[in-house]
Amino acid sequence: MFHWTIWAGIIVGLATVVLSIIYTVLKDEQKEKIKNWFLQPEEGA
Amino acid sequence: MLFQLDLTGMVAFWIMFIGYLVFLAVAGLYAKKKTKTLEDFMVAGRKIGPILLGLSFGVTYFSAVMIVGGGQFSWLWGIGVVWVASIDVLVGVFLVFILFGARTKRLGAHFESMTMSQFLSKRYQDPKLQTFTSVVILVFETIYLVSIYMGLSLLLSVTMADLGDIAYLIAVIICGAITVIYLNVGGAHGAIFTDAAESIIMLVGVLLIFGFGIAAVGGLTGFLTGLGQIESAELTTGALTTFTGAGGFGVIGYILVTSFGVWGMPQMITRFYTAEKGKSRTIKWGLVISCVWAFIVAIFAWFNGAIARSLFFQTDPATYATVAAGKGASAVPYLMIAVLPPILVGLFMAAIVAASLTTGEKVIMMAASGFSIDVYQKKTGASDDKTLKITRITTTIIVVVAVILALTKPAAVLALCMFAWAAMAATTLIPYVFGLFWKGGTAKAALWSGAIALIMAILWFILFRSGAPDFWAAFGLVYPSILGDIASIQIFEYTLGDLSTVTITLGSIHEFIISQVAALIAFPLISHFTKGSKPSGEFISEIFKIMKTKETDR
Repeated sequence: MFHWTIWAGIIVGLATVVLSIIYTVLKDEQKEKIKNWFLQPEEGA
Repeated sequence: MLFQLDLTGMVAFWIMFIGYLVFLAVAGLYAKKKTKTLEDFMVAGRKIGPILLGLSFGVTYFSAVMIVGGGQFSWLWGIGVVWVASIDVLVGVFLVFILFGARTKRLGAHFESMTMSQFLSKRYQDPKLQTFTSVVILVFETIYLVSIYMGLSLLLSVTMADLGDIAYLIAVIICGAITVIYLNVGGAHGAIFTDAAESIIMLVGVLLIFGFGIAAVGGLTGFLTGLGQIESAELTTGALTTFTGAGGFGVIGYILVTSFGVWGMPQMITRFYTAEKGKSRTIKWGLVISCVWAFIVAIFAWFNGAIARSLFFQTDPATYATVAAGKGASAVPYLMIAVLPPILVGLFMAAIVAASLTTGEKVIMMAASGFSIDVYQKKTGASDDKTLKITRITTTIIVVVAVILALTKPAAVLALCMFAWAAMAATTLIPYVFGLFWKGGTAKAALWSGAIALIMAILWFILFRSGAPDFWAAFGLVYPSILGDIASIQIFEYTLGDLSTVTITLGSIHEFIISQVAALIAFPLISHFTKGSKPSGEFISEIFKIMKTKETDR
């Protein structure tokens, strides 16, 4: 039985766990690249 | 008394409990070998690796109290509480590690701080801040300890029911004696070893209760069908099967308080001081371990109360009525009795008692160091060796005081228990967070915003919160009805998604939230007007550089 209250809550928790793993395995340079990608507009934009 | 264990359960309980004492003896002796200095005693020599750090952080956050206490909320509010678990992991674990972990660890090592008060006073270069925060921590951690001992001893006395009233007395003394001996021998090393043991016990226990419970209620379908039947019979549609359900704003407030509250809790933040110095992997992998552990334990623990409600409603009306009369407080113990084999009930109860003792250990360490390091050593300039001795003596005194208070149960102390942790976290959170990220904060702002938050938290609780009438009664006073009228003023109401209507009244807002809003406004404002009490620019540049210095794992 699908119940959004349960599943959406669980998905948020699971996503946090996945994020923690990504954060840990990424190298600092890669994190920097992602940060810059978010913070700086594309050239010519 | 919550319930009665049968003979098999009782025997299993005592075997497991004695086994735990043997474990404590072995772990304590091992920890003793590693505890030679004050730094060893307080922050485990700053040598703790990622696994122990992650587990210790998780266990300190979701103490065993949550296994029983969390169940009560899901009994009352239904499955919407799954969001408490998720947001707690996101805000209370993930964000804490990412935002504060490395910075706190590096700056803590640079300042050589062993307590949160020491950290704050060195950050803002003001000794008054150390005295003020340490007194708050000493008072409220001791009160918090009383509430832990009382809950723990009630549970333990169930296993000695034949002894009658004296069972509680014996239980309190057993709890106090074990803690004093273990902490004096093993210090922070010992506390972290027991954290690791507790983390495994909690994980297994929560999964067992959930597994047996969900099977008994007929799987997810039977579980939700039962909740639907309760809604039709007693509540409104969606009260137990939606977010926020019957909890309304209470659930949202609870999520905010339990997740952001961690940001200012001394026993949580000082976990980072124990992380091994100079290595980046501790915080990074500690984060993963803590998130995985916390997610599993929280999700399943939060479901168990709702499972109990669904099961008892469908199969056992008498137990349902008993638990409902106590507003769900005994939902999880009754669920254990109903679905677990007696031997597992006994084993798991012993585990909860043991785990709560571990929670108490860290609370005592915070309170003891609040006096020995933050007041005694600061005033007298005593050596670390002498301070270590004083810390051990203070530890003993605090436990003795807590045991006496847990036995005599003075009404005033019971009343203070209601907001002990909120008052403590309220005082330290804003100065701590701003101290890590904002160069413009001043010592006066840290001191006064902390004081304002503390006063706001206490005043809001005793004036408007639902526990206020009990608080007034504890002092022999009658709660003025006008305050109750003000508390019930409706601020606004909205319908959330497809389902529940959320009504926010003045009194439904948690004192912690009010205190933090006040401190959030006060801190930058006071900083603006007290620039003279700001640490020198040179010092600020240096500490921000240290916080950003990358570590290697070589």
